[in-house]
Amino acid sequence: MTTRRPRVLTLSAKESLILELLSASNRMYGLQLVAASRRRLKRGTVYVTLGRMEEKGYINSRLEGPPSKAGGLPRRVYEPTALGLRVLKAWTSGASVLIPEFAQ
Amino acid sequence: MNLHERLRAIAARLCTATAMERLIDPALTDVQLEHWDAQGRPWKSRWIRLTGYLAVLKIIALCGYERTVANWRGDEGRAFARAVGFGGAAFLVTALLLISPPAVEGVPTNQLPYLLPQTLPLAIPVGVTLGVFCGLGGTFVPIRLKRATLALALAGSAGSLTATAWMIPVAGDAFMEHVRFTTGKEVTRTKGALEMTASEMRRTIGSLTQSGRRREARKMAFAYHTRWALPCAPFVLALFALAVVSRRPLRRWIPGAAACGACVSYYCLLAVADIVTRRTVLPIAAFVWLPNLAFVGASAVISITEKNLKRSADA
Repeated sequence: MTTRRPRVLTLSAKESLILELLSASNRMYGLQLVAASRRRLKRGTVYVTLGRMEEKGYINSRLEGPPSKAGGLPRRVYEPTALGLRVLKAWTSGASVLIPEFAQ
Repeated sequence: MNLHERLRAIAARLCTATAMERLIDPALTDVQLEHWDAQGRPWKSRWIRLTGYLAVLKIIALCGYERTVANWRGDEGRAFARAVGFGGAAFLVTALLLISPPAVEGVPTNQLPYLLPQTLPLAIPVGVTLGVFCGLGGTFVPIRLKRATLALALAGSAGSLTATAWMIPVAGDAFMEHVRFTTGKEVTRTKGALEMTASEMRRTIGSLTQSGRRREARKMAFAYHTRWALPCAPFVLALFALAVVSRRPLRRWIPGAAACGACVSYYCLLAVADIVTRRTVLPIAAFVWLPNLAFVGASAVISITEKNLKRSADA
């Protein structure tokens, strides 16, 4: 009888940055993440990363009702999931053990 | 249809419904909202639209790549990787050879980077041609591999056009500035055809014609038309190479020899066009575009012959 191996949850540098920003403010739009990241996230690839994170279950997204300006297009807002926050916490504490300089 | 709707329509063809919902629509919405916020500031608004739509194009390219090349397995993927590998290596070797000391005698090493853009109109077509012949020669080339190869060749043509229309004149100016800065001497010289922008060339042609200097005007006109015709070389040579390699399995040395032959023939035709237009009053544009037309025609003849042969073999 083969034992099922647990899925290895990975977190890239960009994903951890996004989770850090979302954990601080709970919900943000894509452009707000780009602005808050101080150019570490690019507007061309942030949605690709967010899409990947949503597939992994680290974040959720939903369409918000359209604002009254600019054609009234609905916007997608992102928020972290409990799994995403746990992965971020585990990754950060693991990194601080392996690389003590990181914790300083 | 405005640019926003046009981009969305292109994206809808290349991206899945999920990608449209999660990637394209949010990016396009951001552009619209930022553009709306920048009302009253025209340059800021233009910059927002430029960077925003470039970001959307990047996402579309990523989606297109994931839907096409990234999913290739087995022979197709390996053949495409081989073509890209051979093409990239040929491009690098050609560019480096063109700025190596024997080719650019007397130019100090620290000034060689300014000459790099001038190598692109030659290095890109050589890279593309060798890539297709050596990478895909001797294999069956299905239609989607042909499309991907032609898309890459089209990107090469776009790069070559950027080099001839913009990078080379800018590099020429920068080179002059560098010489002035390092030597402290003012370099007073008239710009050559390579260093002029397209509008400067047109003005020069007009003034040379008006002052009766017809030979110099024709020489400048040849350089002007070449600036637009030469960037088509990567796409045209790739088209020809795909028509040839699709015919039958080739022996090992044939792809390399055929690639070199094709490139040499192209530039020989261009050299012939230069000689003919200098010595006669025949239309310059027709002769400058002759190599492109010749290779497109040859590709068409080879492809039609191949189709007829297959039809008669099946009958």
